[in-house]
Amino acid sequence: MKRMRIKKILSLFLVLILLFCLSGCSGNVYTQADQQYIVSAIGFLNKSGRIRAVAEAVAVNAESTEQSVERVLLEGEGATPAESVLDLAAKLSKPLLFDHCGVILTDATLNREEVEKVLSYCEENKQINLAAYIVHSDDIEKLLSLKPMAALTVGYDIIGVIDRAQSLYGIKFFNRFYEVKANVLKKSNTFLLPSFEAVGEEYTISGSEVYSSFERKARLTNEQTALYCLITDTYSHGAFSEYKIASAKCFFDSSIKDEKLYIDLRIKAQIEKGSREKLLEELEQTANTLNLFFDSDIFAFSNRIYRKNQKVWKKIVSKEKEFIKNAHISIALEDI
Amino acid sequence: MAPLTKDYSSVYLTENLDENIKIIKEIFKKDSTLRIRRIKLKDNVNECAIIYIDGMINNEVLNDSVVRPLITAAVDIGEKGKIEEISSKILFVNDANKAKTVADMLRAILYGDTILLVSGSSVALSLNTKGWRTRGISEPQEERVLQGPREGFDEAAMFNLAMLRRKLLTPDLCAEMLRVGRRSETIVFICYLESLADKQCVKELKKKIEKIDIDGILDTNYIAEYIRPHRFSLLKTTGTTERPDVVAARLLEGRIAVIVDGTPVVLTLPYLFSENFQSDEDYYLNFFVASVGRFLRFVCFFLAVSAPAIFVALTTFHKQLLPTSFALSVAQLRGGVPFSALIECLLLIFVFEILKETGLRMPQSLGHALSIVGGLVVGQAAVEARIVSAPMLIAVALSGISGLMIPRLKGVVFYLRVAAVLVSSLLGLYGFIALMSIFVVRVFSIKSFGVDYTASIRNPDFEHLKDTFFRAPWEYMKTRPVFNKNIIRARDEKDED
Repeated sequence: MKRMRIKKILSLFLVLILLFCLSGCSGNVYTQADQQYIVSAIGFLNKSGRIRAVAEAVAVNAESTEQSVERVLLEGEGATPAESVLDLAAKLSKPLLFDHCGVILTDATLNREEVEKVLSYCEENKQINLAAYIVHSDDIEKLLSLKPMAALTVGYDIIGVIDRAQSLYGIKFFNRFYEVKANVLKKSNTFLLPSFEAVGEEYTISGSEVYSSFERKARLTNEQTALYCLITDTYSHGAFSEYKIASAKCFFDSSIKDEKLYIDLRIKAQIEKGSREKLLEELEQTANTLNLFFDSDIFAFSNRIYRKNQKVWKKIVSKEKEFIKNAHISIALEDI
Repeated sequence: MAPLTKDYSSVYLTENLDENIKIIKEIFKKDSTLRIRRIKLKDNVNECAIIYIDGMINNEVLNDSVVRPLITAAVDIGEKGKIEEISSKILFVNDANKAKTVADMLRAILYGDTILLVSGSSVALSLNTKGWRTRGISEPQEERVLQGPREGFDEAAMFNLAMLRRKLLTPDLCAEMLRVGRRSETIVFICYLESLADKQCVKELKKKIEKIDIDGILDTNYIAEYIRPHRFSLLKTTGTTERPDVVAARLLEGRIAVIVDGTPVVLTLPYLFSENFQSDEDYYLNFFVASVGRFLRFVCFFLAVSAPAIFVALTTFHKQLLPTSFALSVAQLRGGVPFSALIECLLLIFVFEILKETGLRMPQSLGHALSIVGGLVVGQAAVEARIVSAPMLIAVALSGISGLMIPRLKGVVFYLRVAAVLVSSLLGLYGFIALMSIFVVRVFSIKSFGVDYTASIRNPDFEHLKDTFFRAPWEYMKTRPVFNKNIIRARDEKDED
């Protein structure tokens, strides 16, 4: 009886310890959200060889007679993204809350290694939401300092702008943090980020940036982004330029003849007959020029070849980049 | 030490009337309500005495049925069998029992009967002249229904038994009488339907009640605390009701009822966990309506226990699980509150409990004013003064209101709610889930008088669930709940054998 009781007490003790470990209390400050800076967006840029972190946060003003929230812009610098965030946090009277960080911004000043470091840092910082949007901007500081148009912060407003653009143009950026991480793990290591531009007192999506192996490879306009999505089979339905596409699906095939890679794209789209030829022309032009011009597999063809045609993949794997760059891309546009 | 009634069990009456009266007088020497009246019978040979307690008898019955016949009757009673002669030829009383010992006599006097002693007889007659006042039949306040019978039990066990008998016109209904309490000698009835109840369970219950050694029994809870299994568990393993229709329904399911004199509350057992979510009205309303109510009660139990705990866990440990706009709103509304979420939550829970208790004990007319002042004015003022935050107030109020839907679990809900808040504030949702798991394991391990506490939800089939999460139409409730092997399972007698 006594032994049973001791066993019970011991098992209860074990459960409690286990629960403490599971709850992840160690090393973190667990306070209410009103006693923290709620980070809505965090951006990283390179300033004179050092990483600068710029965060847009919301803080509750407890001293005010009215329960109000204030938007603040915080800055910190360091050799690495982690150090810059630490520097930023050290200046504050309240801890930072990253759980609701909606947007991670990268800047044109970041080089390949730094982009990789930023993504690694975001992955290591367990509090940064995996669903956060990764966005490109040429001037993060200016963008975040603007007055938000329809939300409490620019960060949360950007989310709305991206979602709206995606549904209007029919494009899919797949730029959420987990989606970018998934693309990084693919053979092609290519991902597309929406690019935000601050014009006067307003900001807008100016297009997109194609990153390959963490390096910014191409800047696309909104129209080019839509064409890019049609080619990469990430287009849903929407309208761009003069085209209105109800639905689209891109079928991929590849072959190799005389040491040359042939890529056949068969796009089945529901589109008005009159504009089909013009769209086909634009698609061919975009595919060939972008593929040739940028020294990279910006359409992530390697990933599709690897997944769909192992025979071809084995032949091109040693000189993958060269094959893809010189590939002959033919596009057929069919009605659904 | 003052002698108890049972101590007189071995003291027999003598043939000497004066001596018998002397014994009674000695026992009641400090009781000025005892009345003794000596009457000379018409034969001028025999003398008798009537003994009763003033206020407990019906004077009219005593005068018309006992005193007048004794004085006026010209019946010659012989030397032998005087008591029988008087009982059969003179008295007009419907119930006259013999009392041979002083203990028998005392019990009868104290229960409102009149004792008739006759000179030369060592046996007394206990005459039914009970006349104490009772509250009368009224609707139980705690178990009100919109539709269905409205009568409730009274404080008199005999009347309660009669009300029960009126519902079950069958000789199968057994009512075994016991006296419990060293000094109070309270009358307790164990009622059951002989063909349906588990004999072993009845036997064990009787044994347990007989074993109770206490000065007095003033309510069924005295007995419930002695007999119920898992005495220190928060969960009820015996049911209580003040409604005869509910007791009748439970007896028809093969359960046992314990009626205690002096209280309208009747115990029923065995008791299942699912009964906490049943309402008496469920069986009088359309099954669709009743099923909605039943389901809501389960939902409300979850809300009552977990709403503040989950809110504390989410806002302290798992802020990422909150939608961003809600998190911002919570942060904004909480701004300036000086207490931690735990203190804030506990404070509100205790204030709510105080308001609830005050509302219960207050006269009904003041109750409305209290709910306005307490709930609205104090609540709003507390939020405006930033003592508590509005979202926390909403979470605790939601929990409190949900708890009112399941009054049979109010004790469990309170303790579980506080425990859940404490654990959640320390360990977040992990702690909450662990606590709930322990609670579920505990519920499944309890037995009520040999019956699994969760018998109705152990097997998730229609047969078991038909009266658990929903109430099936009567047409489909062909079998009684699964309690024991002795009962006749089919309600439809054709299906027997």
